[in-house]
Amino acid sequence: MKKRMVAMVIAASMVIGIMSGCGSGNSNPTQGTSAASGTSEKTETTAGGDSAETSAQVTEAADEEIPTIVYYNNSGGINYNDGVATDPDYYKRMQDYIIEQIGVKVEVIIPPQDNAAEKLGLLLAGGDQLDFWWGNWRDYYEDGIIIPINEYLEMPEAKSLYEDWDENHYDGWKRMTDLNGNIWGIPRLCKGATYPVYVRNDWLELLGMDMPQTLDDLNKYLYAIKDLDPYGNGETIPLVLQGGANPMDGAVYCFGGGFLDPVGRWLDEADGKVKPDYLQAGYKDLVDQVRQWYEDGIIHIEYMGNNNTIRREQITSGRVAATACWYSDVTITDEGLSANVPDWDVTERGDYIFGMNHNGLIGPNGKKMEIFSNGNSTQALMISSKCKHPEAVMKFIEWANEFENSITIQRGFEGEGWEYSDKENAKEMHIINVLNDKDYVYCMDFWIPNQREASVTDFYASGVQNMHNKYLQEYYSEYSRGSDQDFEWSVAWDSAAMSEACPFLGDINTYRNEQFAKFINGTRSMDTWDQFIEECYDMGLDAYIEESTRQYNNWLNSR
Amino acid sequence: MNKNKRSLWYYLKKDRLIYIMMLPGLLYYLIFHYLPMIGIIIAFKDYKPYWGLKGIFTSEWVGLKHFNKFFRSMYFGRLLKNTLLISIYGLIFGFPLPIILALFINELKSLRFKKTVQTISYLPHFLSAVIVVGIIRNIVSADGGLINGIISAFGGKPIPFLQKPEWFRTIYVVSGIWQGIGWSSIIYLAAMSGIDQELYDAAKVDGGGVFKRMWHITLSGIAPVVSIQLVLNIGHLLSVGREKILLLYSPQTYSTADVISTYVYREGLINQNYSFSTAVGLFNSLVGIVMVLGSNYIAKRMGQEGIW
Repeated sequence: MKKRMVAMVIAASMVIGIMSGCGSGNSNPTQGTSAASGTSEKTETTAGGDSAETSAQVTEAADEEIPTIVYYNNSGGINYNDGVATDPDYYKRMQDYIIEQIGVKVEVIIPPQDNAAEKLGLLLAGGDQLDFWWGNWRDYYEDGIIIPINEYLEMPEAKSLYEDWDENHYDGWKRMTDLNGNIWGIPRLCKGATYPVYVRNDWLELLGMDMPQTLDDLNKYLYAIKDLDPYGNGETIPLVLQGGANPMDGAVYCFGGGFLDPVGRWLDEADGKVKPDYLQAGYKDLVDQVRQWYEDGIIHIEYMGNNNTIRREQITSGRVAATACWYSDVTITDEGLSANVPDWDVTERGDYIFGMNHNGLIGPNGKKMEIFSNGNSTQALMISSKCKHPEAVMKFIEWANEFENSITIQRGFEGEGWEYSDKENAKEMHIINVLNDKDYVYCMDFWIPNQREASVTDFYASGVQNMHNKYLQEYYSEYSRGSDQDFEWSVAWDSAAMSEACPFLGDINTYRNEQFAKFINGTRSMDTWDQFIEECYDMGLDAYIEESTRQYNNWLNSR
Repeated sequence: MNKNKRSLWYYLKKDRLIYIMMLPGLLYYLIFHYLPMIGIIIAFKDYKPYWGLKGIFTSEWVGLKHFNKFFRSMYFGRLLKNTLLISIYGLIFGFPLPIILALFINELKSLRFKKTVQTISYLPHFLSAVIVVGIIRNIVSADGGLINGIISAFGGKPIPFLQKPEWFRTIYVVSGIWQGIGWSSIIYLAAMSGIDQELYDAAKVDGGGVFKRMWHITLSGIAPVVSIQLVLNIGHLLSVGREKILLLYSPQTYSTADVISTYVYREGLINQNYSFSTAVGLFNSLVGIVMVLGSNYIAKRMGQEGIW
């Protein structure tokens, strides 16, 4: 009997266990994944100068009276904090501080580092409260998942937020607007000069050459380096070129402006059709240039399979003479490279080991070669159509968009996470010093625009300004250096409509990428380029051209 | 009353404790494995993930649109071929090796050495694909890789193995065997532990050497497990994982490296086109079940154990 009783108890507890496991719905959407999990018993003084008692009262009042909004913080910023969210107590203080400031309670959900999109899909599907998040507004607006924010942007409080992105600054609102004039989100990314060609200053000096002004100058330098092999044992890499699924992407971004006119999709006057960039004559010349570099050993034989980890290892080792890739591959490896190139004293020289032509390299067509990125980004901060307090969300965003508030929610309270370097004399750019050893205290961030990050000045232990930081402050928006894309950026392309009209676009792109690889590595002759174009048409490129033309014309008509 | 004619209720009541203990397991399978199967219908719909559960039923029916897209892709034949070849190579070379390893481990007399060998051989199983690919790169890279270092030392020219389509399957399969050989041998070692020790003693008395004992006793003893494992492995022929391939391949090696799962990743998951992914998954499952049924039938015809 005793055994039976024990067995009954075990069986019952297993059933209860599994049932409760199945049904353990989480009424607090932030619990488990959020910086908000846990409650504060903190007795310190809050940033607003109140005691813990006041803080508790505020929270209590907030729970009763003030709107609560839930922010899915999938900006990616947490990656800079190794995926670690804020200490719950600190988060609680921040939450109370925001309540004091604007009367809104903000719950933040920190997404899993590698599966932010999947988690977002589940949250949206699951019906949990989720009021605003980052993403491509074109993925959501047609299905009624988000609301237009035109009316909220007209409020006087939104003036500074609106001006941050107006056409005199980053021209962001156009990219957020559909053909009916609805604005579906707050822009996230501003145009960036992010694909500079970096050249080693010390090796220019070694060769007695000046900083290259043109592609011809650059080639002279690259081939001279190849012959000289300053690193030794034939291990010098004259040019690190960004690889990837499309082996031409890095070349197009770093050199495309010198070969293509316009950059991106273009209108063929001959037939009035909008066509992809690789149907321009200049594109073939650019592929041929990369092929030549590959054949001559100027670029690494495995460059097509490289990623930022591999590129950064190569650059840090000191083997690389020049780079044609995303800027931070160089800027964030500078400190490591300096350790490997002790002869170059940054303080004494007044420049880093890698330098660039700030006027921009000139290509064969006489134009600047670097192409800016993000100019057509439809990434936005969007408000859910299920949001009960959109005005509270806007109030919070407007508040968080102010410099001091933005830095505070990201790095912690003034005097704890940061302090002004020279508050009295701060004008357009507020320079602050970071007080803790973390990149981010990390309660949340807004990342609008990238220049926000540039308002922080970081230094190496040597006292020299961090190269990455200097880039963000001075060179990220150095728009005199490169070329804009034409209507590729102006038209808010509808990728869903494109996918319907041209279902095999993915196959065409895969084929294109494979053929580019073959042209470059010499397994396909450049003489068959026209045949390659014909093959693309045979696969259905016409449908892509027709749909691009239709969307372009719709955009023209709506202007 | 005849015992056999007693009602179901009688047996349920009589063995209620056993049935109650079974309930959690049954509920687990019902809730987490059978109920979600309703989601298969999105393979025939245009579904978006943020429509939630309701959207599964309310989204528009599109018939075989997603299957059509997959079958009409110009890469369908290549994807199928690459997937099958990688799987078959893995099966041919990867299936027997854990058995052989288990046979040899089973013969080790020193318990400490045996455990050491087992631990070392299990370790690669726990490495993430990113780490494994990092190790592969360090071994085969044209730029300071171990193999190319040896080639260069003998005066040869470095070979960019990872850029050569003809090398991709070899690299993938060999690294897969290295990573899984120890872990896969566990089940065979467990089966071997169930073999009657007296059989070995008798064989020794009869003059059977180590290899004869391995062949006639150990291998025969685990034959049912080998048979079942083979049938189950055949069922996964189209299920080549994408993670390692995504990290290893480049446009230069698509011709041999691009498989169904990487294609689905590019076409379906990146764009959150779950309907397309589900359609391809359903196709994979149907092929898998045909393979399992077929191999199970053949195994039974050959007098071996089937899975049922």
